[in-house]
Amino acid sequence: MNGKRIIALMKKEIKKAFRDPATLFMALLFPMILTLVFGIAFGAIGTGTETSYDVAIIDMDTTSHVWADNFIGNVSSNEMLRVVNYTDNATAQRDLSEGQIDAIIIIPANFGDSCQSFLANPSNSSAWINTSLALYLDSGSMIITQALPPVLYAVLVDTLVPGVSGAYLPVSIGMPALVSASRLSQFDYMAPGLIAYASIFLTMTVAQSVSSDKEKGLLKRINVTPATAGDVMASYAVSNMMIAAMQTAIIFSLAAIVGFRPMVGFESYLVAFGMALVFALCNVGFGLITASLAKNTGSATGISFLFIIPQMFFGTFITMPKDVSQFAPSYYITDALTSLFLRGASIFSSTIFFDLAVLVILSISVFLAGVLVYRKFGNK
Amino acid sequence: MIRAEKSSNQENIHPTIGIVIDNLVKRFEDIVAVDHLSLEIQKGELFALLGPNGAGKTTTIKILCGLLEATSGTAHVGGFDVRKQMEKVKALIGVCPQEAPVFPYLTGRENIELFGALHGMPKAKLKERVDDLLKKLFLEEHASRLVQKYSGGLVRRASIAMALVQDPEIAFLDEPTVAMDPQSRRAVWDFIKDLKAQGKTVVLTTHYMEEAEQLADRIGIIDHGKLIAIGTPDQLKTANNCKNIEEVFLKLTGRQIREEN
Repeated sequence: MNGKRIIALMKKEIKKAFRDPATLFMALLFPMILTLVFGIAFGAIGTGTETSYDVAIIDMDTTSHVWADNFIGNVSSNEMLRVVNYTDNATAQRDLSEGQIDAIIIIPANFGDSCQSFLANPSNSSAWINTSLALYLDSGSMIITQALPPVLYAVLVDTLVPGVSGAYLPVSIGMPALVSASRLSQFDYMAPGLIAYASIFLTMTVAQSVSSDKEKGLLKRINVTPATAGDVMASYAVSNMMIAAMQTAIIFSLAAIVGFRPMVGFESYLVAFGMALVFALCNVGFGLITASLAKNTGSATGISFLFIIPQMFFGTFITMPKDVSQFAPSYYITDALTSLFLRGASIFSSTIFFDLAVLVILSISVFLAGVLVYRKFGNK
Repeated sequence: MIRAEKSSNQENIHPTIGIVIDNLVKRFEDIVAVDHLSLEIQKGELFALLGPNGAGKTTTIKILCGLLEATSGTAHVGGFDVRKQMEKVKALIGVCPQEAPVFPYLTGRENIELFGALHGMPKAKLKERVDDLLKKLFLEEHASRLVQKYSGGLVRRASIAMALVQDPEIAFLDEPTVAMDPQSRRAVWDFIKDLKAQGKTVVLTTHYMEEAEQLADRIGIIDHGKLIAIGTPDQLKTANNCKNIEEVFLKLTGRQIREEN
């Protein structure tokens, strides 16, 4: 193989993607439209305006007094708040960061003693045992950040001195720690699948491109130059991997515009791009197999759906049983991206490693099969 | 002995013989497209291969440039065996196919540059050569337009430029002027004459007898895959007692209309 020849052929394919209206639509405009339409249609679903807020209370009170239970009871009876029970802070913090709850209230260990000291000497603040409730709030909720601290103080006052408003207490509301919580809409669950969905259609564009070049005698024309079959195949692979990278960038950019903002680092996006490139290789392989079976460009379009439809149903944003889906290469990229962007998996987690490993093996195998089938039957 | 083993392609080219075909046979199932064809084309010669539709002209050219494998017999191009040394043959030849395939979504210049790049031409030399070809083939003002908007004649001229961008030693031009208007045809003829003046070996197939008579040093007429006559235009006319090559052609191949296989 020769790098300069591969680059020359690759440039030709990229120019085609931008200049041929059908290829431009399938390779770049289609993912753009898909992301915008789905984003606008499903972006609001699942994130409607809340009328009550889920609050986790972690009771760390070690005293034998009933004040903590009374306080929790009073919080529960507030119409604005819905108490969710948690036994440990770590689980509550995770759920807050994932947007499943809106706030965490931690009752301190000396809460009962503090309340008791107030009741023993309501007018002598020097005898009080001061303490404070720790608060973690979802920074994305204006209502919770503005309203919860005064509401909680009112509940405290009501717990200790019912019927009195604005009393000065030894228990204060600590400075709230703001946590950026994510709220997942229906579109958020679809976004990782869109990367695979757009890339799947590379099977069609590759099959059409190869069939058209074959039909017009252009591949034979290239065959009488020093360019090898390896140069030609590599150019199809590399150019379509570049198109897949563009598709991924388009989908992430437009998804962000319509509200997909996962709380993940740059490295997760890098992994997503890497997986999109690997998956593109798989679709180039399917495209080559399609072009080998097809007699002309029209039939290549039809045959390509034999590979597109199963991958679309079993490995994109359509939820199917894993037992069936695991046969589709697209399942592994969608599963990995869902784990990364929605489930908060680390790029070093076993799930990501497994999905990537299977995707690499499947993609290389399909691409090599495509090259072999094309060399045997494709250029007849 | 056709060639001597040396390190570079240029050194390997036989000093006088451009193409040698010996007892070449190509069968497609029960059809014999090329039937024990033997032929020598000298280096620097412009050789026209004539024949009715389906006579085996294009099949012969396809074998010489590696697109088809011969059933039997041998063929050497520039001293290299087309069965065993196709890589070296490809570095020597430029092929202009009958169908004039071009990439429609590239401009004329881009199509020509692509084929120069596939032949490994350095950028500066490629640009100079492309400019020269565009000028010689009167394509300059169309160079930046997408080829899909070209007329048939422009496409054929662009196709010739694509075939010859690397300045090959041996050019195969398969019906390069078919369906061209007289002006375009004359421009291509001048271009082909220029190739000959540069000492290039040119194999030309054509259905235009006038074209063969005007351009060729020698003409070979094949029918049913066999070489039935060979010589200079004057030799063929004298030997067959005809006024022009068209008469020679009709006399040797008959007036029956042929269908392509």
